[in-house]
Amino acid sequence: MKQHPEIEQELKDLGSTLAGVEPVNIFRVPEGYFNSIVHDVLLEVSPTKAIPEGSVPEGYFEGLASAIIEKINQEETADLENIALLPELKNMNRTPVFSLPAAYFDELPEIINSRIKEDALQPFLSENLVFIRNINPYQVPAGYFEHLPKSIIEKVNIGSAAPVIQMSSRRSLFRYTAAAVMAGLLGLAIFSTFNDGRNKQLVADNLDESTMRAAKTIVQKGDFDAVLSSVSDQEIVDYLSNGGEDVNAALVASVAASDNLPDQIDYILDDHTLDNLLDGVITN
Amino acid sequence: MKHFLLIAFLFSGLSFTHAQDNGNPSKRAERIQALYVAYITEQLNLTETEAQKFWPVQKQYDTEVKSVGKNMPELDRQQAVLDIKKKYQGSFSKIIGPERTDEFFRKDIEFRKKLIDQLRKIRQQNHNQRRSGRN
Repeated sequence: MKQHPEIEQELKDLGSTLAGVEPVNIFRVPEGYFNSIVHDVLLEVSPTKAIPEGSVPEGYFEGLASAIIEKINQEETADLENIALLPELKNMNRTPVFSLPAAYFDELPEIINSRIKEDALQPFLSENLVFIRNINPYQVPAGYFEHLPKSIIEKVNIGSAAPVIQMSSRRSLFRYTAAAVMAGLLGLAIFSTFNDGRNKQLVADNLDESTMRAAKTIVQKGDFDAVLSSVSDQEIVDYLSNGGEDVNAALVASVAASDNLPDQIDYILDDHTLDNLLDGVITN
Repeated sequence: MKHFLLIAFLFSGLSFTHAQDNGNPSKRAERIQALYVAYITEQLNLTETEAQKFWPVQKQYDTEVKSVGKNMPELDRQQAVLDIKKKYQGSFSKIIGPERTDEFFRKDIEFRKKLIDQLRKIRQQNHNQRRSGRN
């Protein structure tokens, strides 16, 4: 095995016991060890030491796992004991350095859940609220709700006389006045409506009477043509239309029957003669 | 209070509207109606006794004629008017006799023709005045 003086010097400087250990390979393997190791292991593992091909001893698999683990433990222990280079390991205390409280894992889920809830609320609560968040600020005396209706009724009954608000006479007078005005307006409107109808009838009667007087005057004076010529365009149109007459059609018929139609030469001289004639009569 | 004022205004408006309904259309027709009465009275030589019976019947007749739909087809309208004339022929005949009743229907048409002629004259005069004004 090759020596490294630098490493050896460094170990000496450190004061390590390794500096005094000879660089000898302590691991030695017999010749052909790896060629037969599989068979040897099987022989060691099997309690019968021999496994016939194609058959398994009775109860072989039941004890196989524990046998393997036990064998491994034995070999590991043997290996550690055989390490001459690490004598400190032999002196190490084999007691576990880590310890857990009793029933640690039984309470672990609850502990984790409570911690999760606290962490989830933490960002939304101020320091004061975090401090008081599990404290119920509302406290009710014992039997509070049982005695509540009675206590309320007792308080309400104190000074049981209800306050009476007197309506001022001025306000009531105003209301009576408004009602009277309304009644007056209503009566006036109804009277006006019915009286108006009666007046219309009277007007119609008077109209007939006055019409008859006017007609009598016309007959006596013999001025029918004079009165007729004083009647306006609109009066005639209204009268005839009211009687169901088609005024324009009647006007055209009147023009056609009249003596003052244009001469034939007029139609030759002016293409618009007939249009002018009708325009003058119909579209006035 | 607001409601009172609102209702008061409504009633005032109603009365005002009724007040506005009175007047003009009847007044406007009065002169021509007087001309009609004068014309028929003169043409039929109605006595005062006949006139007292004749004009109330004529008024009913006239109301029925005016109630004929103006938008009806012309032949239907004329037929409806003719039916009304036939309906009142007996009533008129009892007052003034059948011959004068026949004369009344003719003079009734003649009066309207006179109005049409008068209307044509008025319009032609206006038209001529406008044309001469342009020239």
